[in-house]
Amino acid sequence: MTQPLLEISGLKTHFGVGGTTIRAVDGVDLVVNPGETVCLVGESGCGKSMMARSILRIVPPPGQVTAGQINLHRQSGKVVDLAALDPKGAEIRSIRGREVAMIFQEPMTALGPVQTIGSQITDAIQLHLKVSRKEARNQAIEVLTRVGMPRPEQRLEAYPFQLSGGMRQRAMIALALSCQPRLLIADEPTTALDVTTQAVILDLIRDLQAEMGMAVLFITHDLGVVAEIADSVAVMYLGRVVERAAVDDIFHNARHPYTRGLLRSIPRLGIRVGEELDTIEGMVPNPFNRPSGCSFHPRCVEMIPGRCDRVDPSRTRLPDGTEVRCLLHEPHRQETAPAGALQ
Amino acid sequence: MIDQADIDTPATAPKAHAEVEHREQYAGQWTLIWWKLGRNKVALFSGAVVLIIYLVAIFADFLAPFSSEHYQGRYAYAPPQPLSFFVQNEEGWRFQPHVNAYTTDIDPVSFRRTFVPDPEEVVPVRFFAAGETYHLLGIIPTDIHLLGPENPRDPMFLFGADRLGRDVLSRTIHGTRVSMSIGLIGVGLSLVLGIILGGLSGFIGGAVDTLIQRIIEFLQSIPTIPLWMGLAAAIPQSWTPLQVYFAITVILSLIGWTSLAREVRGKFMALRHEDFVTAARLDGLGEMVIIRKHLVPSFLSHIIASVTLAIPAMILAETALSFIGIGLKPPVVSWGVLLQEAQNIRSVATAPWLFLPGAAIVVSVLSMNFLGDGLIDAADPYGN
Amino acid sequence: MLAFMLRRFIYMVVTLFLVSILSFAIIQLPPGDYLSSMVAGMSAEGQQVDQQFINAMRDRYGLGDPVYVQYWKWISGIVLRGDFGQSFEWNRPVSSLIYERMGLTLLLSVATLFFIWAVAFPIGIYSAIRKNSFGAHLATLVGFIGLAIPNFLIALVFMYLSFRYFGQSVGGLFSPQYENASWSLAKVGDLIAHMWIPIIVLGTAGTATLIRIMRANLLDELNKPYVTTARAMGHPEHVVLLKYPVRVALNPFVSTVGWVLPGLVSGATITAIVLNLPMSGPMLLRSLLTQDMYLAGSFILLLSTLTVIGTLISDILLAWLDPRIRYS
Repeated sequence: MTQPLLEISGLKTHFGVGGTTIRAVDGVDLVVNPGETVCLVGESGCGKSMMARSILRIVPPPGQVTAGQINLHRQSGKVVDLAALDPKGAEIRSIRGREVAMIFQEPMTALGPVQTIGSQITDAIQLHLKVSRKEARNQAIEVLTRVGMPRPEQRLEAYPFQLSGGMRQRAMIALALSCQPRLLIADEPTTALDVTTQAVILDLIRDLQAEMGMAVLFITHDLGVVAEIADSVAVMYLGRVVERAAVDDIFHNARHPYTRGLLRSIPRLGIRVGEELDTIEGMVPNPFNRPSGCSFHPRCVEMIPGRCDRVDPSRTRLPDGTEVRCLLHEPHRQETAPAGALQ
Repeated sequence: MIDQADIDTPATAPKAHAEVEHREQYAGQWTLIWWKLGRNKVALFSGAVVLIIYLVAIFADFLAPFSSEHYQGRYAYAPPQPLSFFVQNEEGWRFQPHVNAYTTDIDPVSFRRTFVPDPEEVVPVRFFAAGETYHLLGIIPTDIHLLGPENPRDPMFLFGADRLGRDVLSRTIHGTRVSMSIGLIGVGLSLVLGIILGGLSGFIGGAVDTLIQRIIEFLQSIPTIPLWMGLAAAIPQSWTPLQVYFAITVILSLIGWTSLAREVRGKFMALRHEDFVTAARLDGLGEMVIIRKHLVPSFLSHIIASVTLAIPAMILAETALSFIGIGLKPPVVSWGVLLQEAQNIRSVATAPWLFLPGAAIVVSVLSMNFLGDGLIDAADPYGN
Repeated sequence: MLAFMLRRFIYMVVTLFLVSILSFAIIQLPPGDYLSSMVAGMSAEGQQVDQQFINAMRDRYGLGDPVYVQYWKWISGIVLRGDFGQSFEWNRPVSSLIYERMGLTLLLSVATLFFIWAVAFPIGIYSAIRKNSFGAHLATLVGFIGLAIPNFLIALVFMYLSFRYFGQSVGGLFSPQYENASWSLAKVGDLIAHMWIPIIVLGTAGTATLIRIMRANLLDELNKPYVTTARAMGHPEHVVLLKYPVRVALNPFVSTVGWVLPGLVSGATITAIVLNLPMSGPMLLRSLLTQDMYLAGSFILLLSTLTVIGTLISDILLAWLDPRIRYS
């Protein structure tokens, strides 16, 4: 078995705001293998983006990675715990953009507005690859060509505001891929784009992945996208991964009631007029006011009264490799429940 | 295979915070603004100072020990006398507010008078003392002053005296009226012009907008003080102080309206294309109803904040013009007029208390700026 | 870019035209015509009044003609021949009085502008990046106080302190021995040595404003996604800040020249009056008080022209810095 590229365990990213703490990421476990596409799925506000930013240690203040490990197997063969690095130090900076790159949701604002596309890409190349300005320029043209940017030489001189949304996202991807990273984190890269452009960008990411052999951690709330590109899927709810499984298991044999709820709420063809779409009852709870027990229990249709609201489920690995955090799937309920929880 | 990973304690945030969140979900815009302002202690404190300054302006006659014209020639450039509350005699300490009288020396060569507070001679002062008569709030005739010497002929110069032996403190208090009101009235006029022209510009758009914008750009590109000077110098000498006062106010606001107009226009422009305005229009509401019910409430808080910041600029402008002798002129008392006394550096060197009106300017402008800044932050309670 | 510059240039010409009308209106404001009052004054002093001279002046300024003819005679004299008219008080052509004073006003304003930038730029960046540090709070407080103290009061306090503690007056731009000397290297040195007090007096409010603007702009920019992108690409922190957001925040900063300069010219007038500097301010004040209107009008015209040209320069500079303006 190959070494996993990235191994996250017990990662916590907390925001301390005026004496109280928002637990944006609250004990996430995740593995990304080389060349694999992992999709991180969840509703808005479940901590997906903060989880992605935690990997690169670019969580905006007052947020902080407070616990856990982010083990990255570097190209050199060395294993580094990114969670233990100084977020402004040289080592993490040598990883950012070089071994782990990231693309963002807002192609409109994610590129610097007053520098040309070319200067932003060549800056990154020169920073990491120590090549001459001319060579960096050639590589920039090459990577722009690779992301399907028409007339790349002229586009080098273009400013972001001169490009359309799709072209801007291509430029963003080109920037991220400019140093051939081994892991690409894509934070909802298609959400802000129209549907046809979305499909094109998705294809592009998939092709580039096959071509360059990199792993992709793809963050989305769109299960359609997941079905299209994922190898494995992690479902996040309120800062935790509640279910992690191969893509087929998620769609055909979802274990967690939340995953099943998400799947039921996808609009599909063939729905009858007047038939209501299933939704998950209620709202994502306020992060200040996390429910006790399993944090999903107030919205869960399979909630066990007296248990789910008291016992916080632990991570359970099922025989087929799926991991799930749900009391329904915990084999030794009595043993795992804290004393007195059942009275 | 069973893998039992970490069992975390369930995350429960303090209950109080949840309630705050809840409360903020149904509070109205103004309540939110008030709450946000309430968290800004500096702005709140400054607001209190501003309020006090305006109260001083309203009750100037009562608060000032003397009228602005009261003078005692032999006390020219008399230094400040500290106010004490107790006297000591053989029976011990006794409550008796007083200042110490001066002993004066006249230099035989230069004939300059020097004052030394005389620890022996006590000038008894009292609260609610009878002094010169005035009309409180312009209606109630009275002669009660908050603080005054028991014998009106005794000297009491808590902040010293000027070159004619007038009480600097009293004059500064009286100056509050003109200086603070000129800011308020001037900004009021600017606001009327600004809202009308800015509103027209923002709402009609097109050629009207271009024209008004060019006018604003034009006015903003001219250095204001030379222009004010040119206009103020044309005020006929024969006008009464009241006429001059209004003429200066009008001159200041003729130029001061531009930034408020920009603000109004900017808000109009930004809001005109907001979805909720489009929605209101699609609902069939008339333009005036949209302006009244949707646009004005959306930017009123911003306008109030900008007005608060425009007042100090106006105060500074009046002060500067009066200071160089081209705005208000004696016998009108404004802080700028009073500071004319400080123009001669030799007299300031011997009587630094002539800077007191300057301190009044700094305190009022500073507190208005802090308040205005706090209001700007609070005006958008939905941000952050 | 060329079209942009051309458009701004046309705006400037229109603005200058309006400025000239305004200046002319101010010349016309005082009741009566100055020639009559001058003649009356001269007669009262028992001077011989030359009728031929009066007629020549009447013709020169178009007195008695319709207003637009008077305006034309006045403005065409300035634009075509550099003739700003006659100062009745000094009994000399206005042009012989104003140039050196305008030059010094320009010098002081521009020097103060650079001073403001040099101080406000680093402090603004610092107080945005370390927004909760002691230094940032101190800068904010000092800035607020700087804004609240009018120029002339700062000037007075300076004068008071130097008189009180050094026993000398800080007024003026030159030491006595250079006051009436012709220009030389030594005189320039003397000027520079005297210049710093008016620069500080004049620059305080502007510095405070620009620190606030820079700080606010930068705080805005620091939250933009492109900063995260730059950080995520592994750029070191100082590059992340300086190359991207500071560069963007610089644009509105540059555009402030457009209104800082009028403010400086405005403030220089008062400062020069208080500190008794040989600049346009004191002479403008005096000419207004004595209703020497051609002199006063010329100052107002030239001071406004100065700021209008400054605004044009800042517009062009801004377009050069910000591609979004250049290409739109």
